[in-house]
Amino acid sequence: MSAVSADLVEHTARFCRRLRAEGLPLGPGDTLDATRALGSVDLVDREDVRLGLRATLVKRVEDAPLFDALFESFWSGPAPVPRNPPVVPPDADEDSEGPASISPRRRSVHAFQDLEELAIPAPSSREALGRQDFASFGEEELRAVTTLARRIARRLSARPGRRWKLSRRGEQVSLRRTLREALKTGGELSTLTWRRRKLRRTRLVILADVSGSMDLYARLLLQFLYALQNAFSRVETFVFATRLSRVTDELRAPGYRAALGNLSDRVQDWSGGTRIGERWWWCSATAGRPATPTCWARRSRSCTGVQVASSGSTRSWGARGTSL
Amino acid sequence: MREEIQRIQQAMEREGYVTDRAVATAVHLSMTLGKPLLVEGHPGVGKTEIAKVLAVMQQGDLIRLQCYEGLDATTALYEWNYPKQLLHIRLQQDGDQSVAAREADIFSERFLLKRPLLAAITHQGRPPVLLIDEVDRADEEFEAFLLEVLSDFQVTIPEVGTVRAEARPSVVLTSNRARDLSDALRRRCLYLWIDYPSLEKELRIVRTRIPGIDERLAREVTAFIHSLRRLKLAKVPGVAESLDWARALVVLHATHLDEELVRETLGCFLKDEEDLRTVSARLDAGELPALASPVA
Repeated sequence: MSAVSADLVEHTARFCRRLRAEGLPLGPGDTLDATRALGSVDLVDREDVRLGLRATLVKRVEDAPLFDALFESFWSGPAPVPRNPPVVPPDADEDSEGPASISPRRRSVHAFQDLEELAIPAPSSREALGRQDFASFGEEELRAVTTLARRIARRLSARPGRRWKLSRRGEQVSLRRTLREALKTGGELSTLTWRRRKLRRTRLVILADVSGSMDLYARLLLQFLYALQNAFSRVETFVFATRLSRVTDELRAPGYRAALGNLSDRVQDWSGGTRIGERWWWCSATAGRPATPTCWARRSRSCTGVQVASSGSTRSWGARGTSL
Repeated sequence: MREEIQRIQQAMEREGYVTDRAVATAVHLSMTLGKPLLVEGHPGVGKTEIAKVLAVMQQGDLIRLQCYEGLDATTALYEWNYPKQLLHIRLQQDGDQSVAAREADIFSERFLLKRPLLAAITHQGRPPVLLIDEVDRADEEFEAFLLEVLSDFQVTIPEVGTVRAEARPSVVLTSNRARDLSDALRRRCLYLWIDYPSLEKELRIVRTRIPGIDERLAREVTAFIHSLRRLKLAKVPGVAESLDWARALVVLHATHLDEELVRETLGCFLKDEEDLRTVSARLDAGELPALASPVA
């Protein structure tokens, strides 16, 4: 392996930083690998360099076009790197408005919605923003739902893992232990020892639909979310209507009322329209950055359930709605 | 192009694996950097073949671990040979050994059944090639376990102690993308995506793998399969299917394709009933151009 000049190391590091900024999930180890890879390819041959860097820095085929475009713009002479390289964006939604704009460009509508819109539950082009007064929730209902949610959460929270443990009520004979016992009786298998799988905790990512169509169930849903969030530590909760908000911290309040207070401050599109497709698109497009569900699901990686709580009527599923 | 990469490409071609620079570069880097190579691609594009060719090139053994749902450590790593242990206990029954000594005896390496991962770690001689096939089929739990093994190539067996690999095996993982693999596993590996080959490349593959094939037949078969890949099929035929079909046609002494022959041999490359119907309908309508005009 030939030595790589300090200059090249620096450039490679900058290139990696650039890729990372564009959303490729790269760590310092990958930069190191890329540099080492450059040491074992022909540096004069551009194609060699490209393939070498690609093998080390691209971790899934979907990232390859982005890599190629950035490679072109970064390694082609001393010209300053443009802020926005000519990368083909993920398919724009068929929606005539183009991709969802997250900036609050549209006029916000308070509390009252367009009557027309309420009468005909059809997709609307307006982002309906509103706040919900949660104070009207009953006390005993809350307790009942909490108990129920805890029970459901407990059922959800544990699932059999890879490892085994000895257990009297096991499902399989532990041959290892049984044989060890048999040593005492001269090879006679007099007692069988049983084992079963150790339970593992599931991490849960909840996506709750809080748009207009879910208004009827909102109360129940909220109590459920609150109970779930507080029954177990490894739960991430997101709510969405036209935008997506992470409400894990808001829900983790000392009391239900406090949580509700936090929520109505935080969530601005309560009872608005639904755009699950675009949300998903947005989730996947920004995956790799904090505070999006796919990212959380990925971060908590194994044993993660993604629970979508929605009524299923949506304004648009978006072009990449199903590709999560 | 770097000489080593060129040599690898040549060596692969010598072994009958038609390849390109991207594959050769990835293999070269995986060897020099000592990192596992994760190969993804559609079924039947020759992912597994890479490991086989690599083993031949390095003159090492190929150790294969086929993944499936529910695969666990006793099938992937090691298991005690219980019948042998039992027999041993019976035979030693009248000896004056203490229980502890007997226990140490039956839980020693002699009674260990080495499954692929342990076999790769304890392999003597030239470092082997470890092929972890279709890793996307194993569950995520197993993936996490695999990460442990792949990161330091050592395994702790409670009764025996820690076993460490003397020579690190070359590792090739393949995935059909039935499930998205974790970022952690991806980060541990070099990545290679193999797409369906171009018409020319596939023609070269057919010619290389089936030396006696009629030139016109080879051309027609690849062209036909290529036109099929443009259709929306449930199971898109890969290179493996092209080769199967071409071999079948050679056995049937065909020198060119005609509609009847295609109909009779559809089963060689279509593995789904729905697909069979789709393609038959296309044939009826004469919409598959590769047949209509004889290749000049």
